[in-house]
Amino acid sequence: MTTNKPKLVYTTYIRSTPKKVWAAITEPKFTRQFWGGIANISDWKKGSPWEHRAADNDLYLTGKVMEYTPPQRLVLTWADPDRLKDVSRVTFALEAVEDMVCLTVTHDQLKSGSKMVRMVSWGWPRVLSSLKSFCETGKGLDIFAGR
Amino acid sequence: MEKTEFVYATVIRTTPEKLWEALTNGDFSEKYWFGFRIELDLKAGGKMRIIPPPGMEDKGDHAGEVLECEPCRKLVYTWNMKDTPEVAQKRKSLSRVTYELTPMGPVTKFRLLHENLLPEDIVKDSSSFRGINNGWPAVISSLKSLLETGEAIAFTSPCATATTTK
Repeated sequence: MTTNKPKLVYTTYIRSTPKKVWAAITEPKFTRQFWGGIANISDWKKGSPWEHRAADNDLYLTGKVMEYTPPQRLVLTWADPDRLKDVSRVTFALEAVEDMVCLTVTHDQLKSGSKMVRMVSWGWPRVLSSLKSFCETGKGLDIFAGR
Repeated sequence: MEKTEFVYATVIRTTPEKLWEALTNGDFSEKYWFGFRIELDLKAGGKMRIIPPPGMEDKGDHAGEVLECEPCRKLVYTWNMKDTPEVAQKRKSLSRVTYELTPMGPVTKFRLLHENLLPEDIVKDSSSFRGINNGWPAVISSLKSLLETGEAIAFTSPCATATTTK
């Protein structure tokens, strides 16, 4: 990641289908199983709000749906609810390759040197590793204690 | 000049010992590394070789040297990029690969760093596995599948160009 215009790009290959990986990211009953108990809550219409909220109702992140094209492309704006003016952007791009999904997450428009940059640098590998394990083995990874 | 490097981290439900074996043993690597066998003398100054599968000898043997070895925790080796003469002129030193393994309870964190790279080593086009940035995620994804499910990902064709760009 360059330091002047931070952008994170993470690619992983998952033995699953785009529909299943899409459902894992967008349906709370699946998302909670691999994303530390937190889900992505939205009606998924373009322009609608999106919340990253735990089952105990704690709000971790918020933003808007910029694009929702299942099961290929999801684009969200992304902000800490306590720092709403620092808005970045997350794109999930899913491609079917034989019996796999090539999932690329791009997180850009980040503020250089910010706490968010530090958090997502480890956050994305952690969450996407857990997503891959969930899709391939039925179980996410227990790596979210003490977030 | 900004230095070019590639970092990739993943978390695998396995032990550092099993991950280390998969990373350093050719019988494992040929399952997840496009058929390539890794051969390592696991000590500082030892040889490193990545040998292509039969029929792909033109892909070359990326030979290098082990710089650091801490079993089940850290491995550092040099990687010969097999440059064209033009690119070789620009490369001041061999590229270097670092594996770091960190136990985290029932899982192991694996961090890979590939440094001393040139801009030419990064390929923007994701429709093939060419380029350090395209190759490593595929190899490491396949390694994770092998360790967690018993089956690696057999890549026979690369990612098609994304249907929607930007």
